[in-house]
Amino acid sequence: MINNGRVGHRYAGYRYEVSRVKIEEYAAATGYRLNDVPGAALVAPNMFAACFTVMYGARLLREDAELGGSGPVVHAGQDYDFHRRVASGDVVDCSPYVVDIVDRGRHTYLTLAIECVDAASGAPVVTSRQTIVYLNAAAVVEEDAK
Amino acid sequence: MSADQKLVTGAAMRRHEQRIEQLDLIRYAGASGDFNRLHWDSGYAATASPTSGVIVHGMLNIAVLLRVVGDWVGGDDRIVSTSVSLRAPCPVGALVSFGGHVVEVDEQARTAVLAVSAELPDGAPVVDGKRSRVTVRLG
Repeated sequence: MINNGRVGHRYAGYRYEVSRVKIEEYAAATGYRLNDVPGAALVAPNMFAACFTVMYGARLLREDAELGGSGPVVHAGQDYDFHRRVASGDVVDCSPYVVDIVDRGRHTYLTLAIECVDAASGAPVVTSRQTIVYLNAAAVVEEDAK
Repeated sequence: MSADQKLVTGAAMRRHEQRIEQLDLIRYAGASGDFNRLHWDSGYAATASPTSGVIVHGMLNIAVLLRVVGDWVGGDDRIVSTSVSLRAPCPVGALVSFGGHVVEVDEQARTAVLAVSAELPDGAPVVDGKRSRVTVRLG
């Protein structure tokens, strides 16, 4: 069972430095065309945000001993609010917290938000909300015998 | 036709079909850091995967979807937010059809909302079109 007392829990924040080479790797892997202007920062596709949110979040949940999420999981949903474009040279500070934990049927759904802001100004860059399903982790409710 | 002229309620993107192969998954794993064995280890996936085989990263399908949406609406700059529901697992090598249509235009807020989807040839929803939305900025 997943510990729903973790709703509202804030994990330690982390810092991510956006590199040109990582943007290029991401674009090559996803088919995005980049507009590489000599001498200028390289602007990333919006979905590049996955590189500093989804797997970081998944690792935090996996390593959270108090959460109890050691079983099989699937990624059920992903929301983003894009506040501004990300580019090479950006440094973003990311703050993850558990928004919600709810049982639906046999499974438990957890939503983790990660708020990413510009490290220098504190201005919002992107907000991520990933929904993870812990398979067969819901509390079993026995029906009364009729 | 300009991007804004396209963005009227009911307008639909031409669907984009793409087959995502094992090499694409390896590239995506390296770029994103998602090395879940379901995406590259066929022996492991044979027992652990819902399809009994290697499956495509959900985030790779979302990336392709958002890329084609961005192309249709006039650029990635236009995309304000996304809310995507992943549903059916996507087997590696499957031909996936990506699409979307405008469900709402807010002239005051200068935004349009698209319902977006990704489907397998049998109609199985990899990205659930009933629940998945992309909000874009009008010019």
